[in-house]
Amino acid sequence: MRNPYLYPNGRIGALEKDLLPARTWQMLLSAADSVEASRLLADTWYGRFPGLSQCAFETVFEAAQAASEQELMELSEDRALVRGILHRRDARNARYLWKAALCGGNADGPELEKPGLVEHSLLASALADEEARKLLPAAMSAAAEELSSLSDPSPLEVDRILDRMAAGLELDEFSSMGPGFRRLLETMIDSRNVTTCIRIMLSGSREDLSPGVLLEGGTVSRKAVCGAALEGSLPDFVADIENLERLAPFVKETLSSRSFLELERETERVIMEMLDAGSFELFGPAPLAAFIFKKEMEMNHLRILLAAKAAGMDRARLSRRLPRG
Amino acid sequence: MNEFLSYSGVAIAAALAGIGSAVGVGMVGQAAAGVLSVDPKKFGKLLLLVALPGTQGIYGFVIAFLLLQRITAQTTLTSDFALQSFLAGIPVALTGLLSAIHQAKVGVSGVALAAKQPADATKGLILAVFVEFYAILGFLVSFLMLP
Repeated sequence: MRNPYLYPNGRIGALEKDLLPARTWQMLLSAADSVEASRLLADTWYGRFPGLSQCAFETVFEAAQAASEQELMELSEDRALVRGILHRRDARNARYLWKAALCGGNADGPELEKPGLVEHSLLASALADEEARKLLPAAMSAAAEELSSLSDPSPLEVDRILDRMAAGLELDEFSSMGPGFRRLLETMIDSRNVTTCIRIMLSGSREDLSPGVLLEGGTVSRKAVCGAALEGSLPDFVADIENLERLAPFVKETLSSRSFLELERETERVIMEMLDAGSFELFGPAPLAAFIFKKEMEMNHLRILLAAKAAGMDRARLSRRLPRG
Repeated sequence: MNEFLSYSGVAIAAALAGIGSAVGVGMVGQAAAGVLSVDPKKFGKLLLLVALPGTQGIYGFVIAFLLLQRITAQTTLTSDFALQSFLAGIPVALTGLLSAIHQAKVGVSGVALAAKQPADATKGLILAVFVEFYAILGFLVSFLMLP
């Protein structure tokens, strides 16, 4: 009769009120600049983290992310969830380290988050050391192997491999959260694959489009997505993918206008709706996992909003990209 | 044997309905504690949801008490009386046990609803009350079956 998720899900349900409501997003979208936006944010959950008054947004978001992850790890008795959260952190650290090593970057080394389950030193040595790679989770090890075999990798190529690694880790760790959550992860992979196909098609390098550049684990096969993109029937193909049906007109629009703003906004809207539905599965770990994804998505949207405000972007253009307000 | 059968009706009415209530109140209580750890002001809204699965235990107790009164009032316990006493305890016991647990599941959902959409907290409570109806039917049948 014991259910270990009743208390954590109750607490997380109450913590969800800290997510920014539509009204706050409206006010943020209407803010004149990033300073005004930071003043608005100071009255929200983000106000508790130092750095907001100095507009050190990245410091605030890192602290906010760490606080949310810590909260969940303390609450959850689900080992897969804790492992998933920590491995996501490892994947982010691996991205910073490996991208800096292969594509150059900050001479002092990239700024890293606290280690998850893999030490920074192990990640740093994994590209060159085969023994170190054996100690990594399978998806990370495969990515490190692939990256180390590249002679002159482009940032795009590195990003694709790291994206595959991150998606593989998420699918490995979070798919046990229940069928609803697995479907969410698969839908996220489907949407990323569609976006990748469009980007490659629009870049004019059709020959680069192969199943190998796409993420594994979606509801539709990589070969099928590739085939549809090469045949020019991607919008019709998307209309048949479960949960992504309504993206079809936006795919068509993106292919003709070459602007990803609306497509990205609608994709994120679909994901947000699925996360909301997932957070009501009260007797399992799905609400906890959904919470961390929701927080992360909110912070990404805030990053976009604040960068846009700093660049003086107007509200109408920002609204074309952000699925908020 | 007649004595054993008679008192068995008392025991299952109180015990099974009580177990159901204990489990149910425990489930909703855990979820409510999670919400209250963040937002103690919601105590009033959650109190009824936590208490609701507890009523089945009371129904079981009332039937057990009435049965006990009737049993002790008898000078000799006949086999008919014993069987009737035993069977009278069963409806409230089973409906109490199962409805309290299922009501708790609705209650946990109601707690989540109250946490995320406080304005709809009453709707969660109303949904949980629907499950109560079947516990009341079990109680009435047991009451009507009393020897």
